[in-house]
Amino acid sequence: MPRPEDPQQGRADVPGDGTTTVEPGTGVPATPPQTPGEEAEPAATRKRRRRKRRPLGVMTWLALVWLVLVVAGAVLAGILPLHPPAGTDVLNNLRPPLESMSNPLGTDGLGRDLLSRVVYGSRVSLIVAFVAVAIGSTIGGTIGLLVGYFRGKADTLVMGFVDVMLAFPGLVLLLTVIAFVGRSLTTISLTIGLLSIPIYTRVSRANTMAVASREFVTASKAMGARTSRVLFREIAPNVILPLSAYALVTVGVIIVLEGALSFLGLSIDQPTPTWGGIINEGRRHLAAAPHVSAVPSMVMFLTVISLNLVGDKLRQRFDVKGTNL
Amino acid sequence: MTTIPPHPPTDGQAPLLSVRDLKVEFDSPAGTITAVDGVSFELSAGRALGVVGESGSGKTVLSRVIMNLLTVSNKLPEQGEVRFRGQNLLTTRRKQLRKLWGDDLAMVFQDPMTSLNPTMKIGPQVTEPLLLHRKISRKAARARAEELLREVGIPEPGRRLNQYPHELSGGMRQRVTIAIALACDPVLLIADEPTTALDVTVQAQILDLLDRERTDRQMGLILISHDLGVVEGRTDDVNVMYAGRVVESAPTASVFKQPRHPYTASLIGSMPKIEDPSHTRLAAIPGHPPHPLNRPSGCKYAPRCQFAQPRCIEEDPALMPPTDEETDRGTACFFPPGTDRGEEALARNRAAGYTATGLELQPAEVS
Repeated sequence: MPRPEDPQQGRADVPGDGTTTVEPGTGVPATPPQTPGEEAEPAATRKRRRRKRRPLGVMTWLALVWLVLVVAGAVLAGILPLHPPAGTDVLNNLRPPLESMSNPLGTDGLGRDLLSRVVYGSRVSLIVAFVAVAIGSTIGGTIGLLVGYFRGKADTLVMGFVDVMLAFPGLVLLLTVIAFVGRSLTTISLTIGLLSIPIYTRVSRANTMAVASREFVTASKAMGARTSRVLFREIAPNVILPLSAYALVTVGVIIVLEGALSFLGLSIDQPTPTWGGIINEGRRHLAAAPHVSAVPSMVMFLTVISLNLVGDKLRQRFDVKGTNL
Repeated sequence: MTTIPPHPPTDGQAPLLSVRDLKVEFDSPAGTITAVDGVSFELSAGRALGVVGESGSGKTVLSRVIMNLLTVSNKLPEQGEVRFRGQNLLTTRRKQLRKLWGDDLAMVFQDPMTSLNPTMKIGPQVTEPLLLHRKISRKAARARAEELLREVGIPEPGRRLNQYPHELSGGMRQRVTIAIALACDPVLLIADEPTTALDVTVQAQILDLLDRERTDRQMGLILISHDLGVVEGRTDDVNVMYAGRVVESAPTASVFKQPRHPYTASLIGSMPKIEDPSHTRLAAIPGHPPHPLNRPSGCKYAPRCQFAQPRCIEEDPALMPPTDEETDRGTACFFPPGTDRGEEALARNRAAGYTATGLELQPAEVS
């Protein structure tokens, strides 16, 4: 594999390192001698240094900073010097952003501070997204691991069910379920989580099947390891990495989904601010004060694209690990 | 083949491993595939058996079936028996097998790049069999692991325990897998192409290591390879496999001195020789191995064989002594090379210019 990330190649290619590079294995005689230790040493340290040297890229850094900001805002909203999100000030309504220091992102139709509403709104988005992803990836990941390893009738059955679920239009199914179970933070998170199980099952099953056919799994069995040990110590760690990278990307998808729900007025009830809800309220003032919709849209856009960027970066890293080892 | 009575486990003379008429088949949409077709052999403690054959000849399936490790869903029940110290492994329950695996029976795999878990450090991987099969503390297991790594020639074993597989080279990793296999002092080690993924200089070191461990520990070794050169000089006996069968079984030295099966003869003939001038064309065997779904009815090698006679198309030869004097070896050939029958058959084919199966012979071609 002529990938630049290939550790074997990287080791041989690093120029100007001072030491003559000898592939550790080839240079080692059959009996433990004195020299090869030193010869293996720089290879290992060089590798460590090389890993540090690979930069994350400006975009990924910006994305990470933004995500940290959003999460910190959601967590610390209560103690930040913000206006109350529901505090109306009708005389001061529809102020554009950057006009006064008191309302840096402007105010909405009822004069509520947009910065405060967006920060509080992020709580709903983040809770729904993370809880749903946690539920979906844990349950779906486990099911996928089990059926991908054992195969057989259970696999056929589960995958048949998964295919049916995936063929359903997701939003319609979601709306139907929510109409029945109600619209609290808990029910919405749970419902989205449960409905997203099939997709994780698929990803986890595919990864499990790829890992299970690798020789170290057979080797572990040939060592007398129990099935549970093979599953959870040998296979699971190799499945969790790609699955969590995928999960991070789906966090973005779910934020959008929750936004769509609250835009339709089908998410958490008023007056709790949600990003989709604020966008919806801003619809009425689009001509006079487009910022009411634009600010939460922008925040949502930046959050989702940051998640995708970071998720992609993670996936690339895990892919390298998977293919080269 | 004569039937051999089952060996009682207490018998000191009992072979370590005895395989009788082993047949392994797989169900496929196109029909039944016979991967191993009536293989029999014995192996005593401290001896090394080489199993040689080209890809698809059934070597790997054979090695997995001996361990009873084959769990593909489309495998049909095996026929025959695999007795390890008198116990038939094919009928042993999984729970008991798990106690044997890694303890008395161990395996080294082909590709050290994939036979170690990339997400686990070397330490836990080497101590795993010890913790599974021996009642020792984590600390003692770690000390033993370090000892094992030193034994297989890994410098700075203490530091290696804390490294991940990707930090080691291929040769080092294969040493680690050997250390894992040797951890519980197995009495039988199966090495499935242990050097195929390594470069030549490392190959020799790994083979020497396996050889040394076998002698020191008096364990039985099955060395599987597609490379006759790997087996030569490092095994006591050789089984040459072709299309799921053993076509020649003999002491290694005599095989290289005088092969008694045309296939073995061609394999040896196609090995590059150091004394040849450079750019000498390698002798290749014409044709391909038969497709497992469509094997000829007579001798499976007949279509590619320079010795083929009409009898080879009609009858399937069983493993038998090539001549009356050579009772220590067997060949599945009616016209073994180097015997009167064989030379006569070859001369007849040469004179005609083609064999009974229609393979054209160059007059100058020498087997």
